[in-house]
Amino acid sequence: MKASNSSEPKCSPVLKILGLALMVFWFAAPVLQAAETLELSARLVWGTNRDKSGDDELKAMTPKLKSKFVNIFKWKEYYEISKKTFQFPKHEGKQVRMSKKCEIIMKLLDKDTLQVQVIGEDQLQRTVKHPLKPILNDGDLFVVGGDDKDSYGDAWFLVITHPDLGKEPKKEK
Amino acid sequence: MNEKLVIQIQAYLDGELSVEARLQLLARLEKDPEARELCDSLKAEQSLLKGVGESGHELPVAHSYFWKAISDEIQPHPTSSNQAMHKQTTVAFQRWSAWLVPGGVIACIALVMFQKGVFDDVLDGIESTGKKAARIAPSFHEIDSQQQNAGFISFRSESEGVSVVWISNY
Repeated sequence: MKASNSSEPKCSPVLKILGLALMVFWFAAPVLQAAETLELSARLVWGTNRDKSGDDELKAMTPKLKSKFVNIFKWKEYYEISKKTFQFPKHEGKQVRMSKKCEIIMKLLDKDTLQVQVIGEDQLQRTVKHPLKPILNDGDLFVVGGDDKDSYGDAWFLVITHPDLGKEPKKEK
Repeated sequence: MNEKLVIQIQAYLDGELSVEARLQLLARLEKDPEARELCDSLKAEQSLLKGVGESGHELPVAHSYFWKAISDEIQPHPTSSNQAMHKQTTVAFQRWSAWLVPGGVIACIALVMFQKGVFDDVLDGIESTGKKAARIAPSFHEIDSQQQNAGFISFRSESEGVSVVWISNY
């Protein structure tokens, strides 16, 4: 006679599939997170009270960003010396040269802490940490600035933003 | 008298012979007085043994047999009301389990996603929607300086959404 064992745990196929999916998700999530990339935009800006003097390389700042700067800083004119938009894996850093003298190293310390190292004339000037979410989610600007040593009364700014921020709207015909 | 004839007589007395063999044996017994004598004596012994009989002997019975009978008496017999109640409970449990099992799985997935920090961005998005002016200011930045003669000022403009670190050289 065959003895029936009712104490054996019974598991339906649906539960088995869901359990398997849960396990796959559990193990795949860190890998997917590590593979995510971070996209940011960095601008090197020159602030001055002087008019633009025949230097064609200088590009005026977008009105949207300029209006923010005018409300905060004392300078009247702001010119973009360079603008770089770059992507880098979240678990790695990125070194970007903004000008001949200025270079930055960006790195994500943890999920929400962005570290920016400012290198001027091949020397580390500052290491600044800032929350990342306000930049990405709220469109905040993170600005590192200082006096221009070469031009008295002027200033330089390093502006870290979301890549889509500050884009000029397309003119409608 | 040979052995075969004796066996045939015994078989006749036990009623094991066929009709033909029985007739042949009866004819033989009429002719052979010795065989008839043997048959009569065996018949007499047989009748004596039938009168004696065998005494009855009971086999030992296991206790489990009695316990089963008692437990059958003790246990309530399933009635129609009990069966209906049991059926209702089963149906209600099945109805609940149909929701509980997927709900439990969803709760597990949500727990995993929460642990992995997947929800953080979603929650932040909800918080920041339409409440930009009232949102909590981000935690302030940390600044490390590599230069001895350098200072800094940091400030934030909530209205413009701008955080500034101003580096000054003395």
